[in-house]
Amino acid sequence: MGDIKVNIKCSTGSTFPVEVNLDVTVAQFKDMLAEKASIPAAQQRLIYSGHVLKDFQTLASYSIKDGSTVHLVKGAAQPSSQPAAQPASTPTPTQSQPPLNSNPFGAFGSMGGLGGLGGLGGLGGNMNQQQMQQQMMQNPAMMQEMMNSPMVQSLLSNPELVRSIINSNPQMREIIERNPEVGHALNDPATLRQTFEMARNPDLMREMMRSTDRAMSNIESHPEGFNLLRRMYTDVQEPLMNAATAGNQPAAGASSSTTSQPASTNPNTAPLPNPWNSAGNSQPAAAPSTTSQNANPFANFNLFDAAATAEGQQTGQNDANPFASMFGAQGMGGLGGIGGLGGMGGMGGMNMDPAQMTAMLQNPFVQNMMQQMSANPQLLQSIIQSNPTLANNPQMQSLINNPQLVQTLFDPTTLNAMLHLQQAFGGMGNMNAGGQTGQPAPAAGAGGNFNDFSSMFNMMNMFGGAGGVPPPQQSQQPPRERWANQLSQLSEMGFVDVESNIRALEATYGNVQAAIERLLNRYLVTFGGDAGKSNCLDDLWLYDTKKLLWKRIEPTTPRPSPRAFSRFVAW
Amino acid sequence: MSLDRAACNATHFFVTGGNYDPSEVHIFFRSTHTETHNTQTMALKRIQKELKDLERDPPSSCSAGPVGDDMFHWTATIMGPEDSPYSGGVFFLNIHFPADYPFKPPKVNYTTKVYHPNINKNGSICLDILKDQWSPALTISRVLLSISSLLTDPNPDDPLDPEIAHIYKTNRAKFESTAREWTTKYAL
Repeated sequence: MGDIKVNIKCSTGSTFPVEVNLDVTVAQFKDMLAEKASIPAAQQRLIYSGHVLKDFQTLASYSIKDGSTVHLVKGAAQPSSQPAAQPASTPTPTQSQPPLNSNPFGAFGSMGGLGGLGGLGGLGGNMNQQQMQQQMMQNPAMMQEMMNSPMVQSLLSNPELVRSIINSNPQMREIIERNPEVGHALNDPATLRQTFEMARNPDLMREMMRSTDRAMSNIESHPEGFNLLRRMYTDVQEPLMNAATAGNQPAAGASSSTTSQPASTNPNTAPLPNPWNSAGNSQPAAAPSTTSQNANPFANFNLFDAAATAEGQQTGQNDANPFASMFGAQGMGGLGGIGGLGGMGGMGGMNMDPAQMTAMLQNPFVQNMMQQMSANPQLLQSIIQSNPTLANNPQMQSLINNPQLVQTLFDPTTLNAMLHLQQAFGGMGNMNAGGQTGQPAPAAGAGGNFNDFSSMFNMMNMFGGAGGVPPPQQSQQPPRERWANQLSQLSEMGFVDVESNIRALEATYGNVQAAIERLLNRYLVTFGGDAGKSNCLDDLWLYDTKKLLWKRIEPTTPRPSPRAFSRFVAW
Repeated sequence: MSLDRAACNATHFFVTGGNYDPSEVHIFFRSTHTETHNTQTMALKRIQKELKDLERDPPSSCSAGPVGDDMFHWTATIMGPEDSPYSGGVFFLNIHFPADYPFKPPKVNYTTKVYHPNINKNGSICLDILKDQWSPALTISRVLLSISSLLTDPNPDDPLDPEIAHIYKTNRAKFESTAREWTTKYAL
């Protein structure tokens, strides 16, 4: 085929003719234009007849004819067309088209990575997670730096740990809750590794994010697609939630956690761990087991289970079982995170009453467990090393290397004394519950005299806090007081049934957003409507799908203007 | 409504009854059918002419053409205007021509996400010439130019997304930074 004349129209408005053979590929054509338009081929976007020309296609495949006009647009990395937030140092842009076989969940994975890092931020101190994420998104260089830091590198080598961090992030958990696929993806260490690789390359990440966003919104805007998403939510999330509430019986829950625990060598073949299961909260804890030869450092925690089961059978009443309250309240409250360590924190005596604690300490199973623990410093070491915060603490290292100290630590009398100390301290429990790792740091630096009870107590705090656990509920407060703030928010929104609200908050650990979703699973809300002759309304009605009753609700906060038809309003 | 199949070969057919008035009788002439056919041929001719014009001399900021063999379904691109927060972005649109084009306006909507008071999250565009102000004298090229100018000058008083319109009116800096962000994210 002979050469034809094609007009190139630049975004600046200038036009120039080019002679070209129709058999050349778009990539070759871009190289030809690079000099004339003084735009590097990689930054060119060619548009003809409403289509962006793909590099690997020939010009003929787009039926470009003699005299056709092709638009030339500068691509992404042009500093002039970049928003201010984008640093000029952004490396060469990727192609305009996302990879064809891009994994739509890859982007979610990267979000997971971010969330996980946010979790790290939480570990390091009281950094604003959202701000951090945003900063990272806008600053690929910082992201890259962070990705390459030794800490993150070591983190990456342990995908299990990453998973547990992700699980400890409530936002991430929510995403996983809604998209079980994502949970599967996160359970695959290979995906996680890939994700972090991607996060190191900001362009690739942007590309992925964009295509996923697009794909998701496409699904949403398709009526059946939206239903599918909704079904995914109700069919998967709801039963799991129910299972979680039902699984509050610690003995049953705990044993199920041992069976569903995936082998760390082959995580994909195991069923998706159930993060809502009460004892399943110790599940992610089991996950971060280091790759050391020391089988599973948390295996010993199964002793808890064994003890709980045995006790339950012996006495026939779970309430008398100290572990029942521990796993029921603590385990459930300390959702996710390095739950096993959270459990350790619980051992430090978070909200336990002395009688229960004493009973627990006198339990032969516990004594046995304690002895095992103290007799095996390696076990403790591996637990600590699986947690970066603890592992990087030299005081901690010296502590573990002192078997005597460890033995003292697990001595029932010491524990008892510590418990009394905590009672005296009163508010200390709150600190512990807050999961603030910042807290133990000064104590650890206070000379490393761990024989001192108070610093030991702080050390226990560290165990509890290092889990990066979201604040567990203070079960000694009545729910009405504990969730006072959340309850007032809910009632402002028009959810007037306090009892239901409390139940929803209990089930969602005080997360208002999640509580609303829970409440809305029962209620249908309609707003506004058309009373005929374009007379729009702004009334809000609640339909109880259980009682089959309509109820008009009057929110005290401002409401959107009257409107009819379905329309999405963020208010 | 009832329709006698035998009547299909007749020169005209009767349709009686209806939801509103069971007694009414409509008579459709066969020629009506032929007219429909003519309308579609006419639309095709018109669309083909517009495509030819667009190929020869497209506007500097837009480009459009059929997706496949179906001349009634086009895809289009609009380059973000330089003096707007959308500059540098390339925005994709879907165009569907009705069978009675140009007597009815084409259906145009964005497939790229755009943060704009007159564009909603489904990509629908609030533009008078796409609705009641449509005129058969307008062409797709001029429609695209109007959509492009809407990017430069949003119309917050007739919004499709009231929230964005509110931000546009009260906090212009925030609006522009978000619009730029979306452009970087979805259209670069």
